[in-house]
Amino acid sequence: MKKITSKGIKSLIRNNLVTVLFLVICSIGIPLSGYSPSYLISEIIVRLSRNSFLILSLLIPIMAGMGLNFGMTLGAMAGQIGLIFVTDWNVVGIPAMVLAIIISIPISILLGQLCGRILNKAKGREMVTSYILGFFMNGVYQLIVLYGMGSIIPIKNTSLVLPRGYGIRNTVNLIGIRRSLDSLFNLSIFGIKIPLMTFIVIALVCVFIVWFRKTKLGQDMRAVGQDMEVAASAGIQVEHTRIVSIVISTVVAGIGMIIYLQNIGTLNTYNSHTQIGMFSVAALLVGGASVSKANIGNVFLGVILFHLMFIVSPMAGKNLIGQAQLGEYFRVFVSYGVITMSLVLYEMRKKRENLANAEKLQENQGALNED
Amino acid sequence: MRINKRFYIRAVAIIVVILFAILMAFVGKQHTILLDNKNIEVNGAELKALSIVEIQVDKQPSLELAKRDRDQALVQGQTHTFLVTYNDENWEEIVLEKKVKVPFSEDMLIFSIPAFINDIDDVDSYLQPFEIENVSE
Amino acid sequence: MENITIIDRIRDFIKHFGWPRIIIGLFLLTLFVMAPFVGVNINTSLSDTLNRFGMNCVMVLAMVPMIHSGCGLNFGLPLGIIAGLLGGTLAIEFNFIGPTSFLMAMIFATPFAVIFGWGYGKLLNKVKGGEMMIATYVGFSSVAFMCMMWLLLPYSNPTMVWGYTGRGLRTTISTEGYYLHVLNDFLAIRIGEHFVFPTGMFLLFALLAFVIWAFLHSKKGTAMTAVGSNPVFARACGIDIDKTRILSVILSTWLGAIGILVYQQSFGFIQLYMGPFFMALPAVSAILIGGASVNKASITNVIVGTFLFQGILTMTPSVMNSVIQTDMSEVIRIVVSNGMILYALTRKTEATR
Repeated sequence: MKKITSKGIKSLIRNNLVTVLFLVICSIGIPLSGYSPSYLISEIIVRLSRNSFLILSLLIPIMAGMGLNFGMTLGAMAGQIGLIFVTDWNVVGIPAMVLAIIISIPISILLGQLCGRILNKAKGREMVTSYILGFFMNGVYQLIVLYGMGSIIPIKNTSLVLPRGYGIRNTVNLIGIRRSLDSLFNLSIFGIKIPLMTFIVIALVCVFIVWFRKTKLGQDMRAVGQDMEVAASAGIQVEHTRIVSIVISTVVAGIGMIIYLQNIGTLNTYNSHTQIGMFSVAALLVGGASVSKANIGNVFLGVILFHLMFIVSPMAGKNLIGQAQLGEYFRVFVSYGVITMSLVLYEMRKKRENLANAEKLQENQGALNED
Repeated sequence: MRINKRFYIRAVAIIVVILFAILMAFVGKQHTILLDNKNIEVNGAELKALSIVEIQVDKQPSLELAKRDRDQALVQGQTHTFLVTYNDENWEEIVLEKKVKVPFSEDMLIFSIPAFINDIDDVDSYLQPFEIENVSE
Repeated sequence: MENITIIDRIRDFIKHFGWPRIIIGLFLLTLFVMAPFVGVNINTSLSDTLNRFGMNCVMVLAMVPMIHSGCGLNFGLPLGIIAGLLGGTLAIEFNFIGPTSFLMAMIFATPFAVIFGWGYGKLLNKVKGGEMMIATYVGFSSVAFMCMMWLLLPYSNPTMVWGYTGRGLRTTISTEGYYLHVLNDFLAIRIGEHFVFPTGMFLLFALLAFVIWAFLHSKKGTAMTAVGSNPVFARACGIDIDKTRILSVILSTWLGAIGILVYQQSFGFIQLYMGPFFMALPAVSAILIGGASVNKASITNVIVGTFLFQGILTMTPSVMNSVIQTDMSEVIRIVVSNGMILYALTRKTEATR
């Protein structure tokens, strides 16, 4: 570990390359867009309250060395199913959110178990597997929601169901729970609304994560993340620990999705969850996290920078070239580009570290031989 | 033995969560109550609509209904207070108030003001489930 | 005795062929058997299946070189597709018409494919072990990057650019008058009213497949397989691993470029912008259905896989529609294709690296 410190500074710069790049993009984009600072700040606050919870769900699998959990979309699906039921039963307000969360949790646990088990079979390529699993479960989700609901699963609210008699409509109006959490305690500073309650909930999750790291299970997870074999020889149930980390992540993602959608106010039944994984991962990486290391600070910095770029770029594109479309493509490109870049940097660093370790091993052996 | 204890704790926790979920459903259930000021027949007697009446549901802003008017109130939860203010033939203001329990499973109910004034204790006479029959098909 | 050997043989066959493949094969067979009973014209379906087979098989073939060199499944196929799109649009821009345009599109696409493939290969060499995830995102980000380029590049052919502004390419461009159906109609065999055999497409595929097959059996090709299956041994033999891998990536990218051109000439449209975004997944799952694994693939896998996969895609909508009056083909496609990829990724025997 000592040897890495000199390289640590270097890798610190390398890690923050993405963040620095984003700072540059934003500082060019903001003046070009011509948005007022107060507008930008209020937008950022909205997005912080909307997205932070979802992104926090990514932290625990990273701790367990399972990389970026693209399988968080499974949790998002569970959350959406909860919301569909709540809307069907015509329950509204905060009780509706709580009820939706309670419905989503068992589904999330089930899906998380499944995801964890599958990822245990694909050690070393968790990310791509969880990514494909997201697609796969999207098919199952469509099967349930588009064909099962209204035919096998009773849905009595006709305004939710497609005209053909079964399947949920493409958009579900969440008027009953819209902004119910955000507007519970509203604080207004300089005309900028701050949804205090949402931030309190987010803070609670942060506290949970900090606390969790210190528990026995959290320690085990970190050990597993460091080295599975060492952890196993120390008597840690590696597979089980990994499954638990994914289950927690999925459950948090489910709740996060409910918070996200209560802010948006409408559910795109077949689209809302598909992009969530990608945007959350990109935001986290922009905040300076890597595949193997992430903390709470990364989440918030990431949301701010990533969404600043998101808000600014269409307008900047329009003012610069006269096409808002260009700005929109630009932000899609940047989102994917960021993930690519972070992944590449991470793999390169891992390779270098492996090489360094191998050299060290050889040196040690050499020393042993001399003895 | 230990597993047993754990099992019981888990079972209790799950039951508590389910009970809590049911509570949430009760507390958060939304009903649409149609407030109706029309002639209505109750037990064979024809009750006339009032020419003008004011009605307040829970703490929502009060609504004023003329003859044959219908308005709606969205309410959350299971028991609701109805506060009806009207003038009788002698131009004396009469205020009626009643807490009513709403059937849980009904999304939409119709509340007849003339029937309410006629007999405040006979809940079935003025609060009835409302089915959308003609609109949907 | 006789019985046992037959059972053994069946067991061997199942083990060799894999359960998912057998299930999918039986499913497709059921669909074909059911088709006449529910009023679906078998000739049309067969013809459609063959046509779609021809459209997609080159893109599936593009998986082979990279799997051989140990770069894993080529989720970065969109990069090759972009090279093909550049070739196709350039051929139209310079107003080549008819079969010439197809040839020119292939020629124009080649340098792009080589350059892209070279850069992509360089990148993949730096991230050995994590190729698949990075390949996915290389594909995505290059598609997103090209979205901007399609808007900005100075194309001017009025059939391709937006009418009212005169700049920026359209989202879909018709290949009519250029290379529409040049391969489909080449020596096409028409049997009866509903059945057409698109000979040209099959000839091109046969040619490419033969070239790849021959290449894989050449000295360079065996070196590639060695790199993929046993890098340590390959290094000991004096094979330049990085160079071999780059060569395989270039080949894959080039095949991807040709693949999309073949696809377009039959489909009739060039789909730009987000069009190529999810094109890698069907190709990946097709080769996996055909029996390939993350580090082993053959031409047979390509043919079997494409046929099974495209067969299901063509048959499910028509048959399912007639049976249960609902079109569940989209869901089936998602579940089958991604399920197949998951299956391949989670197989214990392959988690060696």
